[in-house]
Amino acid sequence: MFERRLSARRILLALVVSTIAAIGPATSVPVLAKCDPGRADDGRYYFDGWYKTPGGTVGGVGSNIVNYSPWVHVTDDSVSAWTMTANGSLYAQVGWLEFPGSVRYTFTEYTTSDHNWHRKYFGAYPLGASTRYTTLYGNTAGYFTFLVNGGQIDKEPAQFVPNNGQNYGEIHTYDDQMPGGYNLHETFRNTQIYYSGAWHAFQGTGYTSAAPFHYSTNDSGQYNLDIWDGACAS
Amino acid sequence: MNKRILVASIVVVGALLATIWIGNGLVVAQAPILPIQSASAADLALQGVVLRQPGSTATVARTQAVAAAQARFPRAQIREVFLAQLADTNTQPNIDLLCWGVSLVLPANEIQTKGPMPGLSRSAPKYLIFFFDAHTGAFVEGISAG
Repeated sequence: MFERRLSARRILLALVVSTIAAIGPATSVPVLAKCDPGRADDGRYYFDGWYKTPGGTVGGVGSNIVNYSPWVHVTDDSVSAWTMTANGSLYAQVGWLEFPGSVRYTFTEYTTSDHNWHRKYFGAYPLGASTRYTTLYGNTAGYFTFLVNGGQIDKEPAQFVPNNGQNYGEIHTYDDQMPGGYNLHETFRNTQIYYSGAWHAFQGTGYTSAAPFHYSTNDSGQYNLDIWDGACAS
Repeated sequence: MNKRILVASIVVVGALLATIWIGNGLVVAQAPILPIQSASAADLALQGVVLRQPGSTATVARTQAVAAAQARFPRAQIREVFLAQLADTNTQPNIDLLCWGVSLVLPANEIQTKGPMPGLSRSAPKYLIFFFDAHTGAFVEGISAG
């Protein structure tokens, strides 16, 4: 009787183990590690990336950006990475954005000529995947258009003419993690900018707001940009 | 007899006019605009968004939409909740859907990006509204401006 109970338990245990083994790999999601950089929550904003002002109108910027999941300080609003066309403080952009609690979106944002800003949120693309985010000016006359992986997701009225292109990671307090770690960079690949009637290698000028945030390139600054937070491994 | 001819003429002319109007897209039965507290129709129009009175009832409960919004922004306060026919002609593909709109106020007074580099502190959001399909509960889109 005892042996029968034991074997029944063994069968049950085997079933549970095999079920967990079967379900485990299927439900596990590759999540890039978050890292609390342990810095002060100063509420200031920081950028890490590159920009280019080629001369004349910029008709677009596109880049394959990895959807990275950074640490976002609980009282802060968001961390993002994006492509942008701009002129002074006016801008139009598309990219990924994460709020505290791993709440993620694809977002578009633009300013009207009165400097008011307007944003839309869409579903997020998979973590760890490289997604092409493209901001275009004038592709549809009078509009900025926003593309993800080549498909248009949004258009909004263009009330300024961009002369500048940018690709950045952006945080809103020092205690946010800039996307990327020193062992796992946030990457912008095949980054291009449209001007003088054609697409060109971005060939930007690097810029970082503070010492812990780094950038580099693996193709002599042609198309590829890496950024990361020096306080984090990944 | 004259009366009959007159009535028949009016009916025929009326039918013809109606046909012409409908043919030219001049007569489109649209529900009235739904006014909300959070944003003016003009504000929403800048984003290609129009909210109209709902023409049908929701199968998803209002509480479910509120819970979905609160799950996304646990620290936000609910400003208002409304059922509307959401039309967005800027989003691709265009949206024309019965939705729950949940208007939120975040404790942080700024949610927008600061770009372009080197950044600029910008005005606080005037509104932040998330829309959920009133038949499936699925997230449709969010809009914000400031």
